[in-house]
Amino acid sequence: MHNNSVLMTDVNRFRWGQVERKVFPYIIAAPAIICLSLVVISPLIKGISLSFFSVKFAENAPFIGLKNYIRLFRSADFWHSLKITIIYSAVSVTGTFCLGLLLASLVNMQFRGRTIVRVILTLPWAVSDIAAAIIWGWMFDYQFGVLNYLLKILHVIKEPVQWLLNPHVALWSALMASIWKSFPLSMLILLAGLQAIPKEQYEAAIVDGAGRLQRFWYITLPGLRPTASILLLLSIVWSFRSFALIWALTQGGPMRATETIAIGVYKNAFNYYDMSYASALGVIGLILSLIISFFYFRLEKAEKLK
Amino acid sequence: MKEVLCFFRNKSVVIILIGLMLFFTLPTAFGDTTIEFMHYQFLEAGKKDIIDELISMFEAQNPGIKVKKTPVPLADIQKVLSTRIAGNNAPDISVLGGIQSKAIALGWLEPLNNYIDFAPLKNLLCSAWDEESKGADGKYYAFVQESMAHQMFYNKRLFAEAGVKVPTTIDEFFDAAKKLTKNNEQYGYYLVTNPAETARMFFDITKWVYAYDGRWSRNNALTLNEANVIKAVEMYKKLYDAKVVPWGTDKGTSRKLFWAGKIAMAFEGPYFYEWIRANNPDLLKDIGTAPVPFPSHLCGGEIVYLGIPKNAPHKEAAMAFIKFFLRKDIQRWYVEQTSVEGALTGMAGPEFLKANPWYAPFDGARSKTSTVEGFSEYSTEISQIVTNQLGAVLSINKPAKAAMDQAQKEAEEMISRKK
Amino acid sequence: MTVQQGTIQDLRIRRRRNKIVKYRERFFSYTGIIVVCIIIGFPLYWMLITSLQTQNRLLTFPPAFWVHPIEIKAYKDVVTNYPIWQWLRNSIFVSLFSVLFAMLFSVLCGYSLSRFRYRGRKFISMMILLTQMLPSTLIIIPIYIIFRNAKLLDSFWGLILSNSTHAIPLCTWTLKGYFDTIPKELEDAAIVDGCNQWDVLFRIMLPMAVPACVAAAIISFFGAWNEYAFAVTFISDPQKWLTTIGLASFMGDMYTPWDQVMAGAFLCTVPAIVIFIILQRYIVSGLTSGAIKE
Repeated sequence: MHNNSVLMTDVNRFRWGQVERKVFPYIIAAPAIICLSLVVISPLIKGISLSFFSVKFAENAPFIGLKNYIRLFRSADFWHSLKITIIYSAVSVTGTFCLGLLLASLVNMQFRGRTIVRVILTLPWAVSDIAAAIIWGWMFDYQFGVLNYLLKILHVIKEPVQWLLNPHVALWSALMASIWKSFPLSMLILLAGLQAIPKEQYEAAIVDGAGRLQRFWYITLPGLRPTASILLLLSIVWSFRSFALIWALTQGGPMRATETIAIGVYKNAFNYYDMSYASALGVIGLILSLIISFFYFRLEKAEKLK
Repeated sequence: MKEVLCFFRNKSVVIILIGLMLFFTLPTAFGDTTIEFMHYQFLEAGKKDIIDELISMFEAQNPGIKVKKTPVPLADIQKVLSTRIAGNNAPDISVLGGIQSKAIALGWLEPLNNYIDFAPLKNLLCSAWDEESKGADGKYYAFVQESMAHQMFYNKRLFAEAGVKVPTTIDEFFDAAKKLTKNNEQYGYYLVTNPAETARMFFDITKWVYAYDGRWSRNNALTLNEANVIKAVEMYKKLYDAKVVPWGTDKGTSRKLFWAGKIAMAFEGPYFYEWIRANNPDLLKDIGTAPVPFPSHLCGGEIVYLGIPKNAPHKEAAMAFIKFFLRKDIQRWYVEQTSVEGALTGMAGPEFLKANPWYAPFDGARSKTSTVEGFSEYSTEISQIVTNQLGAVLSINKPAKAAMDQAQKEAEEMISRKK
Repeated sequence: MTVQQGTIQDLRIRRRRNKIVKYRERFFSYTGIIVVCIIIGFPLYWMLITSLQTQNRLLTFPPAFWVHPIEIKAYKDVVTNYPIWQWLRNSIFVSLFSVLFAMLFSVLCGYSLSRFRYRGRKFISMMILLTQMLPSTLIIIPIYIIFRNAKLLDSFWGLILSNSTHAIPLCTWTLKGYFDTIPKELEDAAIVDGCNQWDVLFRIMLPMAVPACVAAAIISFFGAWNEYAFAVTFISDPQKWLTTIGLASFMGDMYTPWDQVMAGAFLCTVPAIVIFIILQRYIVSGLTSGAIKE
């Protein structure tokens, strides 16, 4: 009896299983896709379409085609924003990556108190953007800030630094705070990548007489490549979106020294209420990210073929 | 595991249902009209209680209308308000947080004249009504909740220590500030020096522009680079270079320093007195007030506006609140509670003036808002352009004339582009 | 004999030299680690001591590196004047449910992308990457309108939905990567044994992927905990404020009470830190195994 029923259910499952098996991946991917469509894709489409109309928060929105984009490309402010965005992304991604790699290697070693160190080094991630902006803003203060004080007693500078007031310095101050805030995630991802490199490779290299630097160059870096490459892509894309920290620190100032495209979008949307121009700017930012991703995938394909 | 999934699904369905039920039933529970009032003053320690009392008085005298308070931090008022109006979920009344001109220009607000008769109040309305609250059709769109002239507060004890008399001219003011500054311990004055505080910096420079009787615009033309404006910018730079003001501190911290007795002079509105009372009452005996030492006797005015969005759900009830607020007895009560002028001028009674001698310079002071006349819908952009240039003047020593010339050029370009 | 003794002597010397080298290395490594920790942790230390500083000492120059006397008035003020416990409760509620939904959707989607080859797979991957690139300001107003129509405004569920959705891409990647490294034979064996698809996923794969799940949970938790822009736009009822909105409200019109602000920031960060400390050993193993691979 028992055998018979098992046989029956097997047959049923086989017939049912074929259909179910085909549809199953679609079913389980569906909730995520539905959420993304609802909360991200359709607002995105609406946001893009806004850039082709002259919407100023008012009801009537005449279609103006590419007028916003023409205005954008003609304005010196936009090219300045673009320059700032590229500098900001490049330095932020490089800094986050290098710092993350350095500290990941550090934390990868075995030593007492490793857990505590790991926790301390991840704390910047736990702090919210607002809290981080508050703390760094206070540290950057011209009069009472601790950074100026430290530099003064170490005799590095004579006059206090205008961290957030001087347009030549402000971008670097914002980058400092930004790298501090975002390196923990890179560090953790790289740490995971480091731990995935089999120890035997290192041991073999030591037997072969390879020095520290050589081990790093020939084993660590290649081993990290897959992890590092996608981390870099993600970092670049995230840096284009980065907004809250810069806004809370400098609001894009002084004199637009820290006005990245993301900040420009916010300013035009919520300060000047020119939603359509803001959307156009946002679309440019999106296109930039897409271009970078395109090159990334091209490179990946080339590597795979190699 | 499947059972767990089923159980979870059921529980979340239940939670969602309960949540939706609560959402639907709560507002309409009583059949009263509830108007939503959005303001940042619900977060302010002293003001909160006064506004609460005002609302209770209104509710008592208007049965059937309830007021729901929505506090929003000042920094977010613009974003939240604009998002809510655009999303058709506008509050019934809201503070306008600096965007009154834009709101009027974009047609977001309901004209007050449609519900309230302003004729009997004509001579009592303070100047801000005509300066910033009027739309193109001559109707009033924004209610002036508070109109505060900024006069000089000074610390008598610090003055006595330094042997300084109350200044009555700009030069005396500068000398006094210099004498009252001790490196890193004490400052003579404070200014906004961080361009990130755009609106506040623009207001500070506007005060000085008015000091020299300059204007941002005359006869419907921008005058950002007229001689008096340049003089004001140069004076701002002079105060900055002489380090009589702390550099880069935000306005809040500067005010704190004043309350701690570390800054000697400030140009502030009458609410400042109440804040000192709330934060450092021992300092009150050392506080003196005087008119600003400007030859033009014109001071900057800080205005708090309330507006009723056009697509608010309960406009009538909201207008009832405004009508209530405009009553002379309520105005008098408000002025005497908060020590600031409201929609109507001269409401402070003689007993109040006797009991508060410090209020004298504020009573009937001549003030002007920082709006750019004739271009008020671009005030945000213009203030950004001006503060950008002012920041350059301060931190990288750009010459004032070149800076303001560029500001004028950029502003004119911006307006021609947007028209 | 002498040759033997010579070699033993040499060995001893070499061993001692190696020991010294090792100690020197150790010393430098430890110093380096301590220096790094001090530099990275300094801002947080500064936050803590600013919150414990007396008012007068706060606004004087030079700033104090040590707190004496310790003044907890700021904490008392924050706790009595602001409903900080309510903010914390709200934030925890929103974050926990955001994590729950994010995990659910990501596990499903990650498994789908990892184990099956089907039409539209590339498209789904692309879409997930695309959603990472959007500046939030571009979509905030359209989302507001959508949520208003769905009556999700001023409700935690709207926020939970948007937080979960923003966490989905990174979590899906993490889980997919981890699933990729689990050998397929286990599943095949399970199917032969008579499990259906759902059982395979939930009874076999999921328990094996616990580290990745925890890593994804931590990532989505922090994302939800620190979220500000959407929270401040969608939530208007003060009873429903999150910690980020509450913290921003300290920056008032009148003045910025630095000690209270820092105290508030500290209190609002503590839960996130606690959760991280408890779960931190999973995060690296969860991200490992070639986790971030396409």
